[in-house]
Amino acid sequence: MPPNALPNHTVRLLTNTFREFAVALFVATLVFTAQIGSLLTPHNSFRMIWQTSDGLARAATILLVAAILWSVSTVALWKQWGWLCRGYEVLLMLLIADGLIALPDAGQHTDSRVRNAAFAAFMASFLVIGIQIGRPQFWFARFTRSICLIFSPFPIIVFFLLLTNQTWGPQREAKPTAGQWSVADKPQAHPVLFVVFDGWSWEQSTEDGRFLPNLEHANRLATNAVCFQHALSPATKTTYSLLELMYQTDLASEDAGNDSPWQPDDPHHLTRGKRSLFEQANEAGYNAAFIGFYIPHRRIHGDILDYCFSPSHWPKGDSFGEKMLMFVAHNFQYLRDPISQSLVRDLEPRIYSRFWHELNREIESEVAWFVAESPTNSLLFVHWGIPHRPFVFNADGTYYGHTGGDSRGPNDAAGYLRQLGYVDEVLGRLVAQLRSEGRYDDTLLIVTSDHGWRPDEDLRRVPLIVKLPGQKVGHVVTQPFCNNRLGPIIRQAMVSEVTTEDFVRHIEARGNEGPF
Amino acid sequence: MFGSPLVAYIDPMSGTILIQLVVAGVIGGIAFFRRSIGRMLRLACFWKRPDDDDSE
Repeated sequence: MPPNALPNHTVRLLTNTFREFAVALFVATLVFTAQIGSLLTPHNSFRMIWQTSDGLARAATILLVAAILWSVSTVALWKQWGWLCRGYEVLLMLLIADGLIALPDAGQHTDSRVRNAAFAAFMASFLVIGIQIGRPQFWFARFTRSICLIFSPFPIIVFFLLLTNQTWGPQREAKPTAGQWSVADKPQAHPVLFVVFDGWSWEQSTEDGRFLPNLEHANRLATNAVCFQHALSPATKTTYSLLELMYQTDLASEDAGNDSPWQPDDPHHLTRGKRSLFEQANEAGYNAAFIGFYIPHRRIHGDILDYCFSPSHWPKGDSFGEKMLMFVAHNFQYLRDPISQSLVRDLEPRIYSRFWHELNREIESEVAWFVAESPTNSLLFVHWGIPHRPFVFNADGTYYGHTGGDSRGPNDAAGYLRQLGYVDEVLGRLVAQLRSEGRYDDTLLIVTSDHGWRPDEDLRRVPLIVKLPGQKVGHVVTQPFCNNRLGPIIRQAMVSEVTTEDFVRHIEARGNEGPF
Repeated sequence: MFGSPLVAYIDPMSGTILIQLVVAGVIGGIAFFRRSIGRMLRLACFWKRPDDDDSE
């Protein structure tokens, strides 16, 4: 043996340690594989606004779980505790079975045949593991370790995929300082506020053409503005109508067979050649901003936006630690063992409800900041998550509690009405702030929705209230009017004056184009 | 907005990750059975020699 070579037993020890870690790392990766396979699809990365830190947090979580597993095995071997060695072997086999059984349907839990097959696979696993416990010399545990070693390059491939996945961030960005806004050419520019509440139904919010009595702020605003009693959203799904509202145009119908107009490989494929409200604002010397959620608006609209706040609708955590915790918490959704399934039922509604509450409160504070700090030559498009489920708000904006199972969706009329109360509260706060900032009179305020609520109602019937700059007297429009036909009025408000008469003329002209 | 009533809509897993699993298994299998593969290759070469001689 050369003088500097390590002794044989040290080499053996290092080799065994490395092998144990390779086995633990593979098992840890396999447990998360179904979730990772789902997150890394182009659509999901796009929708969850994937960032490099998301990949790093997930890789770090897997390494941490592997380190915990490896520590258990090292302690068991070091202390020569037979019971712990056997327990560790059983744990490894259970985790491998859990990870493998999760792969076929990747957390969708839809097909009963897959569910039954998963149950049968679990029973078979328990049988084999039971034999292994009864006969410690049974070959299966050694065979399992060998298989883990064979597949040990898998974690390296997964880490590579996680760290090189296409990014769609940022979700949040630094707020512009006073000197970074573009200054108005004319002294009296009209601020434009286009507010879209997600899933606000006309049918559920009104009675005899008026907003319900408890929606007092909506009632007051409607009385002093142009209130549409037969407004329509351009589509029944956010994915289409939001785009059509932002571009104030018609796109290919949602019945055309596309799952979504937001294609990650070409987000502009339906809007190429069309100008968004933000582009039109820029051309008029306005600052353009988006505050909302859902998809990566900063990446879609680019530098046209002077400010963008657009978190994902997928609760993935903000800090690195939160991202790691969320990765673990979401994983129970993918695993089929009874413990994970019961945890999902309890954990997932809590996580999502809390997230939904915080996200919408954050939107509220972002809008308040924008109204206070932006110059008058600013256009803000807001996509608010409320009153869409989960119904987690009390009318004053406090947290009601987490919502339960599927039955709390379209059937929870009380929850929807409660959340409508918060929509009204938000509307009241917004108008009050505009008044206190001395901006209310000059602002073009548009309040509407992207679709209704229940599948059994006309999902395109939505509220539409337009408060024109300088408007003092209300006006009611009874003819059908689609809320993606407001582009000319918004343009006019940014470059000159708009009177109620102009607007009504515009509506009547557009009304002749129907049906929408 | 959401495909599922409570949980944000998320697409199912694509087959790509399973292909990566198979690729990892092939790479790891070659490394794991390298001695056996080497022996088999040597054996194959040994069997080939008489043919090579015949062809000459």
